[in-house]
Amino acid sequence: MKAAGVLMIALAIAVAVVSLVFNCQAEGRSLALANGTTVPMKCFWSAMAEIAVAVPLLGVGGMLALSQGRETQRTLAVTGGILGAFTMLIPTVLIGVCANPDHDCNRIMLPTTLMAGTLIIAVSLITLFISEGRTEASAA
Amino acid sequence: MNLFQLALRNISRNAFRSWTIFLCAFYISGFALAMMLIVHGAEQSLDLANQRLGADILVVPNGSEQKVETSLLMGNPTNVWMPREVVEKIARLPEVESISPQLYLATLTNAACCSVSNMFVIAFDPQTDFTITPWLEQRLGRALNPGEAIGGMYVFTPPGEEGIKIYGTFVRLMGNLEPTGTGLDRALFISFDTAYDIARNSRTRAVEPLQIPDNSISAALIRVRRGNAAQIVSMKIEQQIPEVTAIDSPELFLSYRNQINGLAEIVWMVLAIALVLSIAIVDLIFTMAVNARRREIAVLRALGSTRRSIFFSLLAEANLLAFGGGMAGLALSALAVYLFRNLLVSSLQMPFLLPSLPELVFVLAIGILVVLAAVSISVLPPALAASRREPALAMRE
Repeated sequence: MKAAGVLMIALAIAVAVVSLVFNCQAEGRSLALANGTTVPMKCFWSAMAEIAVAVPLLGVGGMLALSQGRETQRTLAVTGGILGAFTMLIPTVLIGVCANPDHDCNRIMLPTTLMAGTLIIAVSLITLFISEGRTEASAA
Repeated sequence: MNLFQLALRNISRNAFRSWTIFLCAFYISGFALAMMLIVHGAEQSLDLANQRLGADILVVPNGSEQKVETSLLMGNPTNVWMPREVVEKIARLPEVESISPQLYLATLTNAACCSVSNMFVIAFDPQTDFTITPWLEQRLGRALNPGEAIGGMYVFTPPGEEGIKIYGTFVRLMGNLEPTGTGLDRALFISFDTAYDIARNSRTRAVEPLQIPDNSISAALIRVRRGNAAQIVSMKIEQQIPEVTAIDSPELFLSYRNQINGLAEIVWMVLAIALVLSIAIVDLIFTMAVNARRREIAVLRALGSTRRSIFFSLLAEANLLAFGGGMAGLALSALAVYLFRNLLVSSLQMPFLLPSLPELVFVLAIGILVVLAAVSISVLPPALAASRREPALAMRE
């Protein structure tokens, strides 16, 4: 499970860093209102939410790398999978990113978080499958 | 224990060997698919852009060929002009069936009077147009009215707005063209009347007025009469009107085609080297594995396993790993190319279009077959040697 944990940590870091660097606010782009004030675009809020998901994911990855118990590994795998799903849902369904396909949030942040989310879910499923198998083997 | 179970057990027993073969298959299949998708997607995109223009010859002002090609392919607006009388001169040539002028315009950058920053806007003449008008008649059943527009695949009306604002004038988006993977997907198509209306209104409604020089056009699309070679007609146009450049259809986007062909050659070369290296690595690993397991194989033979079953168990072991690695590599690679397609287009400065689902499935099937064939070839010599080895001799070694 060490490999799965390390992979999850790497993916969580990738999600956090990419979200932090490649949102429109970080690149100096914001929405100008009629009264002259500026507000962040929605990719900024997506990026903040992604960081909020990446932090617990980092913890899940760390615990998965260190855990020995099958039950713990199963619980961590399920938690990782749910967090992976949220990684994908935030920039697509829950908050979204800018509509312009040329913005970096669309070109880099969105695909990276979707790719990372897919991999996190895949790693979680494989972990769950392996720990399930081992539990059955030890029970037999 | 059957052949499959024996192969699975051998896979789980040696992590290093299994991972090496898995990763070789993963790398080869993933790299091959990604490169194939990029090169094929760029070629397909160029062909579609050519079809979308639907002209045998594109006439542009002298020295602006590269600018116009880049605009049409990458969607970067350009500002090129030539006298409108060029159209009449060309129309007089007996080889020319039809000619249609176009205006290439651009919205302002970061201005409140334009919904989209620096958008490529193509104005066409509905009286003579043969590229957009047939599509409009098929879909809308009529031509565009003033104030209406057709967009490329990625053009949309901003939420809550009544239309797309261009220099302070709203134009209604009446539909979207099919994707081409080029800059045309981000371009807006309007009629000449709409363009001149926008230019007139922009003097009072926009931050900067839209300038369309009098009696000027940006380009002209030409259809050649049957039986005439486009190349000869374009040479004739250039001889008679020295201030223009006529690009015949096969020559259009030639620099991009050369760039793609160059990239394809490098990719196939790298892929061939990687494939040969992977075959060598897998062969080496299996030779070592078979040598390390010679006593075990000899015991199996002594217990009644046939040469054939030994040979096939080794082949199954390698192919299971190759299949797993290949499938993972193909899936990840297809997903990465799909998700990062916009980044690829802007980084490589090349148009790109994803293949259709049946095409993708076909490419995936070919990819997995290549990986399985490569691994089978590399495992063949050690598997044959192991199956032919005499059990008594092997146990004594």
